[in-house]
Amino acid sequence: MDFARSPELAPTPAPLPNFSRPRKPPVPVKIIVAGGFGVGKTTAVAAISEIAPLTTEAEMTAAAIGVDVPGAGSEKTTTTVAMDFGCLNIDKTLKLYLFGAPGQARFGFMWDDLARGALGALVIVDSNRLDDCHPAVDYFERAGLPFAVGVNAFDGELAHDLEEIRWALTLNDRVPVFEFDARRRRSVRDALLVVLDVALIHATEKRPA
Amino acid sequence: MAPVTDPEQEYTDRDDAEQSRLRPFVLTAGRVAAHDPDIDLHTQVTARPHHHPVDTLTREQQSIVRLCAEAVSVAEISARLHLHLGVTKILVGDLRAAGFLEVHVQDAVSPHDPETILRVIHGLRTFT
Repeated sequence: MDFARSPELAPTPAPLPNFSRPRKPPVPVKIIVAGGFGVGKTTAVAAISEIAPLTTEAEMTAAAIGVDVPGAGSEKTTTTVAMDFGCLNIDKTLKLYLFGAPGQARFGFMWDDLARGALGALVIVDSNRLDDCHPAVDYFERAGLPFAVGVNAFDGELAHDLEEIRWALTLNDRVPVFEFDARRRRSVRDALLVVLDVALIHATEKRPA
Repeated sequence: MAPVTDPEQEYTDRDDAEQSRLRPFVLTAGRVAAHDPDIDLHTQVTARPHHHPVDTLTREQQSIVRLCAEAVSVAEISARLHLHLGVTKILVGDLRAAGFLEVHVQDAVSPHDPETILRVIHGLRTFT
């Protein structure tokens, strides 16, 4: 997005790194922030990230999507998807990355890469547009990735109450559904803590006795 | 005006779009899927002390080595250098093979480890 701020590719090369005191890099962990377009994913990442959210672009080809019609037309479907992310240092050696996943159904192929190694996912929902989060919910259910559903209260009012939303999304009782404000740091923190609680239950059950 | 079905005209119309699509993979000599599957979005990368002259590297490769003076994730390299994620993974894999970068795949923790999740919970609670 804001590409003007990055000086790394400037024509005058910076001096090469000084290797005199090698430092051990932090151990990275990640949580996925998913949901439909414009639902507040980047807002939530920005609210809690210690760096201004960055955008990376992934190039996807027809082969990656699995749609390859040989012969007639033979137009390659190539899509560039943008993904915003941020990070925060949890302690001296642990760093949490938050990846805002493109939520549209047609970007599903990208989620395998995102979901691999993730602690869990926060699915952000706009109570006026519940359908937009279906692809994300379906994906995480099938992938067995722990997730929680945060309903972003844009103007402090929800179009449906939380139980109606749970029913509409056919979520089981183990998936927490709660209201939060993607603009507020503490609210986003609490939303992530809910995701981590689900992840912890999941991990504890999975661990061999 | 030529009909859109004219392949040449269509190509010209799309020239810019095609170039911006193809250019990233020119940097990888056309490879699109040859990266190490262990290299993840959040995998940390650091520069290694190297004995080969960096001026044998391309501009993009040199930029990556410089950026990795401090530990950075693959996603950060991609974002800060405006390289597509797939291209970044391939270039990072190449630079690792050539001895310029250390890719800390062995430092990855299991997302199913309750101890790790508890550490994240405790750390996150201190954010106010």
